[in-house]
Amino acid sequence: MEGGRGEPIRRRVTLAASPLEVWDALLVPERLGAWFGAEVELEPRAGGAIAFRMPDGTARRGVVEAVDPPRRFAFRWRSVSLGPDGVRVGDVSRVAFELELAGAGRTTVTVTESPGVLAPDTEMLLGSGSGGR
Amino acid sequence: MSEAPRVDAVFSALSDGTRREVLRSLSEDGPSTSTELAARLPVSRQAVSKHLEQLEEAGLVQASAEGRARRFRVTPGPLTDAMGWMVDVGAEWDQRLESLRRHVERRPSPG
Repeated sequence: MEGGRGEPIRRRVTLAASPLEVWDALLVPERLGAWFGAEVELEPRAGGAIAFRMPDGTARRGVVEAVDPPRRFAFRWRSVSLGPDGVRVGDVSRVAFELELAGAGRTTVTVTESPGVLAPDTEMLLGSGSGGR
Repeated sequence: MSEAPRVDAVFSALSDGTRREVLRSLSEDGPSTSTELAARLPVSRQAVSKHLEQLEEAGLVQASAEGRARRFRVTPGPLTDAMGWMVDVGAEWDQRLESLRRHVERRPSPG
C-alpha cells in the first residue's frame, strides 16, 4: 500500500442532458455498464456492493459510500484480478461523481478519484459481491 | 521504505532546469558524488549539493556514504508510481467520460 500514489485526479465535463438523466446513467447498473464498458453489479445505497467486470477478465470491486440523488454518487474500489500466483488485489481508491445543473438540460459532472483510501472491510471488497437480499 | 513523497515535491524538484540536468547526468553517467557532478555541469559543487538535497527530499535520488562523500543515484520509484498513477487514472476517466457523453447525449430525454 505504500509508494507514491499521487494526488487526486479530477475531471469535469458538461453534458447536454439533465441532472436526472445523467443520474440515471450513473445509477442504473445496465446503463452504467453500457458506457463504462463493463458488466456492473450495483446496490445503489451507502454500504451497498459495487462491482465492474471488465471484458479483459479483471474486475473492480468496492463499496458504495454515498447516494445523494441527483447530486452525488461516491464509492471506493480496488482492482481484483486472477494471476498465475493467485488473486491480485490493487490499491483502494475513492471515486466521487458530483452533478450540477449547468443551465436548462445541461449538467456539469465532476469526477474525482483519490488514491490511498484504506478500506477496513477488505473481505467485503473481496467477497462474492452483491447477489440476493 | 520511507513514506511516499508527494507529487508536489516531485514537480517542484523537477521545475528547475539545473536539477533536471543533475538528474539527467545521474541517469546517463551513473552514480556520482557532488564533486563529480560539479565537474560535469556548469554549476558549483555547493549549488549541486543544494540541488541534490532537494532531489533527495522528493525521493528522486538516494545517496550512499563513500568515505566522507556521498554518492547519489537515481531512484525511479516515486516518479513512476505517483506520476504513473495520475496519468493512467486520468486517461481512464477521459475515456469513460467521453463514453458517458455519447451515452447520455445520444439518448432522447424522457418526457
